Amino acid sequence: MKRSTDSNEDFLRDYLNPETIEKAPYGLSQKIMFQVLAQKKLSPLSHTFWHKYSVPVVSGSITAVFLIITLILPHTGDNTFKLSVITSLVTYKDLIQKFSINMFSGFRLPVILIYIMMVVFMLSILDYILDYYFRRNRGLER
Amino acid sequence: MDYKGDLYNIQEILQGNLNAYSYIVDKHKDHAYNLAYRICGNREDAEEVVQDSFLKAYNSLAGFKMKCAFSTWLFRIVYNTSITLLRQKKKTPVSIDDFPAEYSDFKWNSTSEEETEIEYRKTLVNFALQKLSSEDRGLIGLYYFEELNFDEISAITGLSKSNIKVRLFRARQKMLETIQNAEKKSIIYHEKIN
Repeated sequence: MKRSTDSNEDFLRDYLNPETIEKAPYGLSQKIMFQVLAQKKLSPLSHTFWHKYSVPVVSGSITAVFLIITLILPHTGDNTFKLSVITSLVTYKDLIQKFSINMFSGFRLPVILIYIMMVVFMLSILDYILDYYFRRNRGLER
Repeated sequence: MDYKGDLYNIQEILQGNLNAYSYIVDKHKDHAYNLAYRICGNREDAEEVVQDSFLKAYNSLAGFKMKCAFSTWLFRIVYNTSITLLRQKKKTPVSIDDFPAEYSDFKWNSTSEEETEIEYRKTLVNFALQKLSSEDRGLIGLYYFEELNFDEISAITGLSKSNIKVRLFRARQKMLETIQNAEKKSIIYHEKIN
């Protein structure tokens, strides 16, 4: 590798020699592997698919559940739900039988649901930012 | 560095062959330790940093995207872990009076004049390094001991190439000053005792 030099660089070359690197102490490899083995027993490769994507998957699932509930529950028109599992199941059955695309023409999301979705969305972004920040501080940034 | 060998070993580890990680540890431990030692300035902290870094690397291996060499990625972990450790410990900078001025101090456990000279220089360099900030010590370690280029150093430290050049220049100036002062002090000492 060719490098540009400045007036003081050569003097350091006399002192800093790549051949004089500090070697790791004897037994360090064993210590590291012992720690890795101990950790593996607790959680083998913690960054599996589920570990990595659990937060967005859970957030998305919650949002999806809310959307489905909104679709199957009858809307009262005054921004409130008739929250009843039985009602929703009965309505769902009716809905399947009478399904028509025109049903969505007058569809409006209840205000509370929009707030919940916004909060879920913002929390997901916040989680991503904090995760990135702490990874970087711990030296895990890729 | 054997880039392909690392990739093969990483794939083996991800498939559950833990022995492959011991090859990686053996291969990179000296360079990782050297960088940590240059930044931390003592063997105990360097050892702690290296252990911690290899553990972090293992835990994050599934997320390693293999866009860069494993060594570059590992150096980044070592660099950041060392700096974080030093920030936590809040070490005070060493004084010029802390340097063992007598060249003869290095003679007692050396077999030859050449060995004495090497030991003296190593100590002098480490002393001068401790006068720099932890980030600058890392830059000196990566540039001079690991002989990495500016692109690689930039990937490890997250600093721009121009910033690295400026910081290296200033670090060199400061080290030169420290070494000259220490040698001057040594000469004065010898003149006094002679």
